[in-house]
Amino acid sequence: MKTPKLVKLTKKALKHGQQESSVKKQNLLEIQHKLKKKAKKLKAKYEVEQDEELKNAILQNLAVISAQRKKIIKELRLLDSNDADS
Amino acid sequence: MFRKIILCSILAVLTYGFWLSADFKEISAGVAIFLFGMLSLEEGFKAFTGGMLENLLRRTTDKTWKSLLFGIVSTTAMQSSSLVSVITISFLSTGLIGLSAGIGIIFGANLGTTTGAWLIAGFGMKVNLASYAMPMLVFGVIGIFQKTSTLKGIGYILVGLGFLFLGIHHMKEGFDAFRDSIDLTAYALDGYSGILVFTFLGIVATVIMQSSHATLVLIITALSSQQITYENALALAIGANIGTTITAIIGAFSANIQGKRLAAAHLIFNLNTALIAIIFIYQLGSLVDWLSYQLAIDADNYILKLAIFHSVFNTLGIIIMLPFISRLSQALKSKMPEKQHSFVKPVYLSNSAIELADTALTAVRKETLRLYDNAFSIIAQGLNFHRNEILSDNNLASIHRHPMPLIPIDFDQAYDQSIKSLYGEIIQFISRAQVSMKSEQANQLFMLREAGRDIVEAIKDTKHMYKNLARYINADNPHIRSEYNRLRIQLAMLMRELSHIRTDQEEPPTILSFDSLKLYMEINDSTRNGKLEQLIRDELLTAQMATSLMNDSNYAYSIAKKLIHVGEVLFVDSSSSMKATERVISLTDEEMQEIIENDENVRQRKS
Repeated sequence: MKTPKLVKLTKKALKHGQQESSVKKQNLLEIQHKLKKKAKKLKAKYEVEQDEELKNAILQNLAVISAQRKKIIKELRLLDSNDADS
Repeated sequence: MFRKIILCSILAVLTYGFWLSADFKEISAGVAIFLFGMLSLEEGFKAFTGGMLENLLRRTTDKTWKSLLFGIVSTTAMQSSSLVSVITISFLSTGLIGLSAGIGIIFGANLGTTTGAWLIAGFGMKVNLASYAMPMLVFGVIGIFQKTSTLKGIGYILVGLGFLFLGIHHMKEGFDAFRDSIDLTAYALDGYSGILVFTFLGIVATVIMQSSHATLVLIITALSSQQITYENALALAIGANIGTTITAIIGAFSANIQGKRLAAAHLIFNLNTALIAIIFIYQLGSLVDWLSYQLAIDADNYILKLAIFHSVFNTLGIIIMLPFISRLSQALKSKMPEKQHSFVKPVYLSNSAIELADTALTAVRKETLRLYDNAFSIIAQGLNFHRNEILSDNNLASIHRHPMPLIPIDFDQAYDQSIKSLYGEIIQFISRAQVSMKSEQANQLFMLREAGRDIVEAIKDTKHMYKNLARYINADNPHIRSEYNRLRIQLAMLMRELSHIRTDQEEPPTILSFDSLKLYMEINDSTRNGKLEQLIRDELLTAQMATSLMNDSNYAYSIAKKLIHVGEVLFVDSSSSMKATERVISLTDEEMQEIIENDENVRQRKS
């Protein structure tokens, strides 16, 4: 039996969506890895830094990275739940 | 030094002359009063140059005959070809009129200035001008003391006319007395040698007095007192016509190349006219005699005949030179070329790069990066830092010392040379390239165009900020000094960080790299962090200082925001899908605010 065109299109769209979310997931994981490395580096720098002002700046950078990492986790969870639904 | 020597010599000669002869003193005083009158007249007309004259010029110089007519009418009305030529030079410099139109006005002004001879010849020698001068001076001075610029202008014009008439009166008195003691006719020479000598004298007199009107008055008064012959007077008038170009030449020293070309055109025209007049002086003399007869002017009324001669030879010059205006204009442009400025030219934008969309995108990105680099230097100097100081690892705060020498910067020149043309080329390239692009590529191109615009606006913001920054970084008030230094150091730090992000080999720049800079910018914004309010509350700043600081903090914030945006667009070279993901993760304003609040809470707990 011939597959209806609408079903074909839906399947194609779903596949495209899955591909997109897979690329996004890969990107998110890559960013997460980089941020983790960066945070580690900054923490090490913080330990040896003597200047209070620079220490403060490092802390602010760490706060930014922490917020970004939290957002990544949130996005990854969202992608996983979407995958589970589909 | 040379000028000082000349001035001292002139003063010495004049003093000696005054000591020798009271008549010479009277004539010189007349010339001085006359010139002062000219200055007042020019001052008066300046009051009306705010709009009316400019609008008239624009509308009335679009054709050669119109510009010629304008030159005649305006010079007749103002009685000063010098003022008209100076205004014409200023319009040429700003590009409101072309060189051909400018030459037309100058030609017209040459004819218009002959009406002065008519006025002087017609009224100057017969009427007791001093009796008119006094009321004019009184009314004029009352006008000058008024508040409105129009009344002030009218006042200056009246005072100018008053002094002109008074000057003429004194010169006349001096020459009348002079007639008895010195006989200028003794120095008169016949034939062409006399014509050449008196032409030269006319040039010298006009160059010294910088007014052909003043020379004409001298000629007419000398002629009416029979100190010189009619023939000598004609030669002097020709010389005055050449000498009058000195004002435009002096004016052109401070003008751009267009002004210099116009002054050259003025000199060429007057030299040609003078040459024609000298060659055909006897034929012109006959023509003047015939015209005088037709106009019922007495054969021995040499004063009016001189006025006719002045008008005739200038008209003849215009008739001969008019067909050559455009050629003269072309010749001047080629002989006096515009100085080539070292404008920054695009390196990556080429016709071949436009063929492929991706190549075009790369070319625009690289060229905009060059634009950023040029802007970096200008902004750095605007913050009173050298580019290398910002790019070094030196502590920027330690560079700060008091008093701090200012790094000189001409924003307009720097902008013209290294930004304007390059930015223009980028915009032009973008509009050509986007035609053949897909929506995603066109979107990237749009972002690059926005980055270019941000670069230009950041420079403009720096220019605005520089005015107060230059004033306050060395101010006596330590609080305002410290605030302005903090502003410039913070911006310089941000620029340094941007350079680190751009050149970091280990961690190539991502959109997320800029989040910490955004946080730095928000935390240090004194208008938002309450520091400025605190300074005002504690009355540590005057109201003017507080307003300036508030405005400049906004400029600094705007510069920082724009530079960060430029960095996000230009430095990040990852794939479009990665960029899209990074944008999702990048912190929003609210999330940034949350971090700031947490930071403040931690600090409060610590303290």
